[in-house]
Amino acid sequence: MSDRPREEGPPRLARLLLRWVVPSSEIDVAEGELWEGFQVKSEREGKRAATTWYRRQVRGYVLRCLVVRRVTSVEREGTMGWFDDLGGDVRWAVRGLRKRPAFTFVAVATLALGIGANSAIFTLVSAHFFSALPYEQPDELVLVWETGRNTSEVRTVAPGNYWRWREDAASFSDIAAYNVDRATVSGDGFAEGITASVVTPHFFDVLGASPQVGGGFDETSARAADELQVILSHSLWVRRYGSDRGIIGRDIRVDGQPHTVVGVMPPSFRQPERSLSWQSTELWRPMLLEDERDVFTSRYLRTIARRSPGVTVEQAREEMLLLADRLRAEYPEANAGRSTIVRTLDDYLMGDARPTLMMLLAAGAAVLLIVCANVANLTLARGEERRREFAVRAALGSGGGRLVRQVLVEGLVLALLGALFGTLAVIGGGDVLQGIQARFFSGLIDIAVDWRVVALTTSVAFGAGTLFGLPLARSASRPRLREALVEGGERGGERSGANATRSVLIIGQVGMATTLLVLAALLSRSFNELVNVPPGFEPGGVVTFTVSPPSAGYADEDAVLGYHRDLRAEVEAIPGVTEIGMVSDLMFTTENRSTNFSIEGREHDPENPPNSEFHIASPEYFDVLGIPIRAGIVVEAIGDEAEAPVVVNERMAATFWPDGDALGAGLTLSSGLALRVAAVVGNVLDDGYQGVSEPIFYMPFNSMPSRRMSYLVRATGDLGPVTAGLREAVARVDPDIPAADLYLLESMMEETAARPRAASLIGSVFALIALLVSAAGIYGVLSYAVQSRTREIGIRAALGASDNQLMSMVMGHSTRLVLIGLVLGAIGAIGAGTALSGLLFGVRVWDPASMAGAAVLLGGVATFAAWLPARRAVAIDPKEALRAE
Amino acid sequence: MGRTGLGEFEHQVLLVILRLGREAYSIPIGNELEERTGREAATSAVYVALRRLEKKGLLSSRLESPADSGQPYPRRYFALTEAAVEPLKEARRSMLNLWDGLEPVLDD
Repeated sequence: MSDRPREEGPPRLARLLLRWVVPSSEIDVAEGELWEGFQVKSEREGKRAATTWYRRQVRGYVLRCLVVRRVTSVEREGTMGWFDDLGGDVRWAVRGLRKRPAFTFVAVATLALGIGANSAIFTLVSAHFFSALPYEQPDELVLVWETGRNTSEVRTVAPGNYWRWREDAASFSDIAAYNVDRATVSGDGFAEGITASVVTPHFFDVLGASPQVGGGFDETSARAADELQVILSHSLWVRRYGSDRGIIGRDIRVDGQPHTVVGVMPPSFRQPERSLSWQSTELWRPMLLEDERDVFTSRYLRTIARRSPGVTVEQAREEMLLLADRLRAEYPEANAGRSTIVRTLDDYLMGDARPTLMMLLAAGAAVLLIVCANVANLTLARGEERRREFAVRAALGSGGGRLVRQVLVEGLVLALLGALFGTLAVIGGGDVLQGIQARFFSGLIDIAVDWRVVALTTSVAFGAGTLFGLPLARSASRPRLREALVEGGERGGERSGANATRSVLIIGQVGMATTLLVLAALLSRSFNELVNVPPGFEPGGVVTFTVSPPSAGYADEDAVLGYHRDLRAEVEAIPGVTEIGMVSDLMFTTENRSTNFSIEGREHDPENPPNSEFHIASPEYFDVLGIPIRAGIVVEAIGDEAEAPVVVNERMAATFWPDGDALGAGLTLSSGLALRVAAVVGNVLDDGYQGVSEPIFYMPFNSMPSRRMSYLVRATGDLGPVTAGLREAVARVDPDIPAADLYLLESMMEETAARPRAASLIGSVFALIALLVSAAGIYGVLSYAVQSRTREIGIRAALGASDNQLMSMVMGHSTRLVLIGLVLGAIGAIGAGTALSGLLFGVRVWDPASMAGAAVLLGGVATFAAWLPARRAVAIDPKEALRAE
Repeated sequence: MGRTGLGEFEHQVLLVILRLGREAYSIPIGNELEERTGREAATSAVYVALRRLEKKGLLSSRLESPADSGQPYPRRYFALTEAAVEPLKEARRSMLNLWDGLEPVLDD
């Protein structure tokens, strides 16, 4: 080997590559052949040409040897022929696609769009339908509630009932109780308000989760009451304590008191909440309910239970109903009219998002079908050009089946390329998708492009590739040799079969695009209706935050009143602040309290006394929010009057005093507190956009001081400095108390409309894609039609047809197709809209405005897409046209 | 073409080897193919086709060492086997059958 020429030899890198791919037993021969070829080329055409040639040959070896090695291993099983042919088909397809870069680009790009959109949706759907909730055996977990009196509405659970359930329900291996609250952590830097939960010590055992660092609650020492314990979430541990493992056993300040950290949960653990990620629980405190075994009057627990092995949800439900019967009989005062509700955790957490996701899935499928129709049209147009190629290949012995396979393989190669780019885009945009997931759907599970998504995407690509390859495959299966070869490609007119196929594809595309557009319009209108429901107050220019002075440091009512008085004074001093109000439970949150009461001078059924929600509010609350006062005056309470002046909303007045004599009526709360109605105010949307106004009364703050109060501050001018000023004011009054949930009231309201907004937004995006893709499809098909009718148009022009006549000849056909598509699409929209009616708010499925809008938009775009090639047809010079073969 | 039959390229390669006689190794095979079909044949394509035909038993080969040939690399020469005759005849028959009566159509 040493005497082999090196200096003037072939390129080194290519040679190394060759040595790498060719089997060692053959390498000397193969290298020799190439060397010889290189010498010959070098002599004839020069070194450069020879080097280029050599590199090209090595590329061929790389491709072939890598394929052939695999093929030879298959060969032993006797299927080589087929695979070999398939490899040939794939190579042939790739070569054909490379020859037509424009076609390939358009086809792959639209497919990537269609398949990528589906891949993204699959990722969301897969997370919601398939990924297990982050708990052990999540299928076994159920939530158990009480119902309200004589209603089927969900209510939180009384401790007494929780204990009876826990002791008597055989369907469950255990039941835990919990409740979500807020807490303030301070010390170690700035004070911070976080979501904290109180849970029974075995809460984590029921979920099958355990701390990553440290251990669970120690019930014995917790009960000794000399040690307050907390478990931290992973996020809080990382953020505030720098992932310090030494935190276990140390004291941290929670609500102003030292608490011992006993454990840190793993990052995957999240409390099973429906709320979105920014409200996840970050700290758990033990709730010891031993002293509350017989408490039935207050209901504040949420309960989660694990089904015993072999017990179905239905069996558990039945047992709980029987148990409810028994508890009604045993504790009639507490449980009259109440039953139980059992719901699987999965259904509770994911059930609401599913209709939206199903809609997305359907919209994605529709977009993909439109894309398929488009690519089918493109390949058909190409197929016309290729008829001669098919005919010749058929003449040379390729069977119809062989050609069909060839065409299908081409389609699959395109679709798989589209899937590849689409999936890469989804992976690249993973953060965006996770953002969508956390913001609009669920903060509980993370999305991932997993094997399911890849498998689904690939099978969709296969389906799509077959689908859009079929029309061309059909024509390839019947190559008509004589026609193709003899008639010179038949430029004069189009074959009717392919023409009909293309017409059907156009109609289908327009139809589906219409359906999507109508649905998008419905969803947008529904969203607008939703957020334009008059909320009953003026949220603009109002900043809100929540403070909660802890019982350590603010032990009695006077201290709490003093704190709020000081804070008011500080806030008033901030430049720009014009009005300040306070309320115990902010609107658009689901936190509500309710109480039983009796009305002066009336007899009530002791089993079923009047009940209403109530808030605690300062008198300025109504002014700040512009809530109209319908009757009476909102007066300041001193705090120790015999009858506190109370404000009721219109709904309460109408419900309990239908004769209009609410003003001045006397009430007594179940706690014994006496009230007199001083004013009637307008209703507000208390539970968010989709809620209904319920009877509500407002207790004066001075008569019932509450620790936790939300402030509503109206200010003029720039709200930025005001917000900063509020934070500072709160810190000045007590550095241990944070201004929690500091928001513009308007943006907080927007948060609550997240899911309808998502539906409307994503619907619009899909409709837009559908519109563009089908416009491109119509344009492409008509361009081709015009091109292939050039000669006919020329003849007609030569025979004296006017521009208008030519224009209407070309456009007439497409207009008919578009009209048929529009009608079918509108019918489809009614069907699809009916299926979606659960997602619609304030809009009828049969909405003429949405239909008309979609029809005008799509019709306009389609007409424009047809007009462009038609104009070209009219501009054709008859002489040129006739010369065109 | 049928699975046991010859591929178009294999068909061509066999004919070229027959034509070249004792001088049939890959470089002249490639040159001859190019000359007769007017299409450049990639060396790797020829290489793969030759190995495949040998595997099918339609070709035999002998290795000539550098010492014998005076070349810096060894060469592998190919020759048709008995088994190649029938498939070649069959390929010719089917090609002629396919063309039967079509010549006038294409001669315009």
